[in-house]
Amino acid sequence: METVINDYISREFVQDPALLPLADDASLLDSGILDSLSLLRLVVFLEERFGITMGDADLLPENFASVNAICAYLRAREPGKQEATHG
Amino acid sequence: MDDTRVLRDPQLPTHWFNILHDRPQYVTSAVSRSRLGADAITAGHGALLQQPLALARQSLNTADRFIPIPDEVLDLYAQYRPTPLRRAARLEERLGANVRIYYKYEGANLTGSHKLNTAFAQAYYYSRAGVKHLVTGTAAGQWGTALAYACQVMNLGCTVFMVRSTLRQKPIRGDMMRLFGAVVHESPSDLTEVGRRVLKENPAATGTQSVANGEALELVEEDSESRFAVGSGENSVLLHQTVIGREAVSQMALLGEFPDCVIASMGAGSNFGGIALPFLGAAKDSGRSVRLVAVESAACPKLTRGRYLYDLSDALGTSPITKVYSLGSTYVPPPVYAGGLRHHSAGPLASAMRADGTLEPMDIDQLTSFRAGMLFCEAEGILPAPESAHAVAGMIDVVSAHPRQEPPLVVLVNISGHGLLDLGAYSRFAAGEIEPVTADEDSLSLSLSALEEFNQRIAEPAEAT
Repeated sequence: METVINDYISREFVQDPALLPLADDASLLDSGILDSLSLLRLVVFLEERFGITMGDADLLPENFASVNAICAYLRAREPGKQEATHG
Repeated sequence: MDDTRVLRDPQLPTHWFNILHDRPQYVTSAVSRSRLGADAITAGHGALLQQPLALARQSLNTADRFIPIPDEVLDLYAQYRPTPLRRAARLEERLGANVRIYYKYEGANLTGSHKLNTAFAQAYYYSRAGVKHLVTGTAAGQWGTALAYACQVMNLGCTVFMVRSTLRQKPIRGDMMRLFGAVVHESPSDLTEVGRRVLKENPAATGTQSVANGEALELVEEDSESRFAVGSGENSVLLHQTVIGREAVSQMALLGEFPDCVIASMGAGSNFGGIALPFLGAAKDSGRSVRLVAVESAACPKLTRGRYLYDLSDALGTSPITKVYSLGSTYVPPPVYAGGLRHHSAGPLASAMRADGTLEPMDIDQLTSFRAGMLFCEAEGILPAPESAHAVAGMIDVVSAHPRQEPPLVVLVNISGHGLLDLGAYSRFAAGEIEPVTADEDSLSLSLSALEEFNQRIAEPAEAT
């Protein structure tokens, strides 16, 4: 899961080569990698890739702080489902 | 609300038209804020999206050609929609041109302009997302008035930063917003860092939409239950405005007509997109073509003299960096009565339409627009808002060039709002006190240079590879 999400964010949103390779614990918010437009694209990607539907209550900074945080959020949301389906 | 209590006209569209389905290439082009380095970080209350997810999704949706309008919003639209589409027969006679002129009139609702179409929709989505308060910037005041009323209907608080020059031109706009319960501040103000910075540089600053939006965004950061709402430019806003064009397509069809040319004024693109986009869809469906003309103010000529580059949309610098036709976010247009046309950039969607030639830009100076507005008023009995008067002037330009020996040109122009709160400006016109106003060349040159430097700066990391 970490690899899939890291690859997507690196490919789509990290346009500054100095920030690559992107560490799984690197901040996505303080660095500006995620802004309102890129976050929305990430949400759509996560929904399609992991078969989930996200709402406003899911869009907490702590859920999108890093690749690790996103994965922790997804695993906590529906334990086992994402890994079983796509892992 | 009990549906049996609301009588909806059968011509009221039940869905918005989503151009991104037909033209996914119009999805907003953006670069990461990480290109800004340390400046990428902005203080705030941690909300990741200003918009509710349901609203934000509309700006990226390429899957659905038609998006259902929520029932509660439809009931509100039913207060004033469908709006009239009429033939301007007396204006045709006055012009003596080889044309059939139709106009769509959006000024008959309580707040007096098309802005209510998206204000109701946005207030609905924000309310459902649990937001308690909306903050915005407004230029001419039409958007601020519409949002103030929509917030009152949806039991939301509302704060409006209105551009100083236009608030002083027509303080009654501020009165209307306050009547609907909004708190109204003149922008630039001393309430925010953005405003204080502008006032320090120039205590007599006339204000811009960019600064007003920056002040609104800064205020929002201080309250976790507040969000920033925007009245134009965003894809979702243009989507909501497509009720105008969807109605117009049906109304023209009832008359056995399809326009050769659709004309609207251009601020950031909402009234233009609202009427034009459904005709793009209808033209595709019927194998026809349609010419789309966007009329901007010569004081703020972003489509005719701007650059298609990446830019920020607010003076605070917190917005996404999107590709737009822009004069640069530091450009200060001279004060003109068409305050709604003073935004430094077109929205991403309208900009993409300009870039691929779908949209034809035209700039009109203030004096020409007032002449056209008065002519329209005398002929049709509707005083157009100064912004809409630009559309009328553009339409006169288009029809005047149509050869007499050809079949009559069929044109449709969007009268996006009334000018009853601009009577002072029209009186000045009648007294011969209105001058043509063009771009501030010094400010334009500096701002375009800054815009190009900004693009070089955000491009540097990629070039280093």
